[in-house]
Amino acid sequence: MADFVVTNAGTAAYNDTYTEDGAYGGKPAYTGDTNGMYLFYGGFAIPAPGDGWVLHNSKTDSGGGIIFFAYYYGAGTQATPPEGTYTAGSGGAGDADVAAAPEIYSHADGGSVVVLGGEQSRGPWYNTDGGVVLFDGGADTRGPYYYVGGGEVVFAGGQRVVMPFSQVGGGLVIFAGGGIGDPLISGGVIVFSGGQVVEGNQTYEVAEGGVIIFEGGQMAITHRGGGQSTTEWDWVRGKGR
Amino acid sequence: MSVSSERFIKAFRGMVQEGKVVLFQNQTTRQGESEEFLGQLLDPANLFAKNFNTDDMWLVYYRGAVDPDADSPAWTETLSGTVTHSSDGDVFTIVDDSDDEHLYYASPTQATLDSAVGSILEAKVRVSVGGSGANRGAALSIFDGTRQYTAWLRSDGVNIDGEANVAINMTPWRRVKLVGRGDGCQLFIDGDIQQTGWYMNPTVKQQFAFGSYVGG
Repeated sequence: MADFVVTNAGTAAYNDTYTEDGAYGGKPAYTGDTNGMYLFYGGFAIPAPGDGWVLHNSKTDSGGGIIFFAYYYGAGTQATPPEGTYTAGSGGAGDADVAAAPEIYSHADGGSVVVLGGEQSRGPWYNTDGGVVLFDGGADTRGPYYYVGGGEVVFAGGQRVVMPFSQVGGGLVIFAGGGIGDPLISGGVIVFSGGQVVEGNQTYEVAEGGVIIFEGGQMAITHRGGGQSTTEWDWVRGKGR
Repeated sequence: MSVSSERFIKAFRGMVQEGKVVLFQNQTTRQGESEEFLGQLLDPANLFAKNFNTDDMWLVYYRGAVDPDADSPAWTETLSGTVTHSSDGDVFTIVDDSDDEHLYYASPTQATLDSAVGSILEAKVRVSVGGSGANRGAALSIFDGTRQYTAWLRSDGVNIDGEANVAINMTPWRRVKLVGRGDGCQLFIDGDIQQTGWYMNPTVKQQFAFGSYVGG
């Protein structure tokens, strides 16, 4: 299971997906799936004093007190690698960004996935070849959501749903109440059936002959505009007809 | 119509064309206002039923003499960033030189609007700088308690929110009118219809707004 993803490192070998692989410094350690670099915590002074999470080409000890590692986050006692920017140290160019790898919920060949209240889940969610994904109340989910080849996805209430959505080749997405969505949807049928607020600088797009239905109660708010302008206003006036 | 009424109207029309009409309370009108006033005055329902009231003409009226938020009644300013803006005593200028900044003004809450009846927002404005492409630029917006209607204005075109760009040179002074009613709205420039479109957002607000951007 992939655990962390490193991007934007100036030393490209560190850009990789890191999977838990044993322990070091009393905490889990991670090894790059492709390039074999390491993300780990050790008994080092970084830069001094304090221990912290680092990226380096070997799980080793700096000898203390100096920035020995390719990238370091800074002093801390986090149980797992903190997400954020890791500063370039010895042998590293530019800074590196470390983020938790998304969980992959793969839902194929029919069947159903049910996420019941209170969970905070992170995609991507794959729903292929039919089947149903049901988010039933209170869940805080984050996309992307992929629905390919039909199937049905139901957000049944109370959850906050974060974009993006990609729906290709039909299928059905239902926001059945109470959710707060920020979706980018293409294809198929999208139903906002009540209670939720859909807000954001987003485009609701139905491709391939689909339909968007707002069935009541919700507000879909668009924010557009911006850009530079110089305007002169002689007068402005308004009235009812 | 009686002969005396016709004489009065002829004389009044001449005064309007000379731009010297003095309305009630010694308020001197501009040409556009005079035309509007004349149009309403010439309506027999107003002239002879004695129900004409200048207060009913426009619910809100900003004349550019001071900054809108310093006007009486004051418009509500929404400023993001450091957008340059000032009135020279007759014209109010907004210089928005950043994509990340905006400035707009919402009318005092005296507007009482009805989406089923419709609303009109009108401005005399010119846009000397403005990027191309729909749904950007300066804006006029009506919030009628049910629907928000927005027109975007750029130096080379205009559009109702969500619609395509209509090419028009907006660098000369233009009289822009946005009319919203129910789900639909229409945009006029100098009296000519430019576009018909749909409302932008649902809203519970009742106000008019203008500026380098108008929020929902």
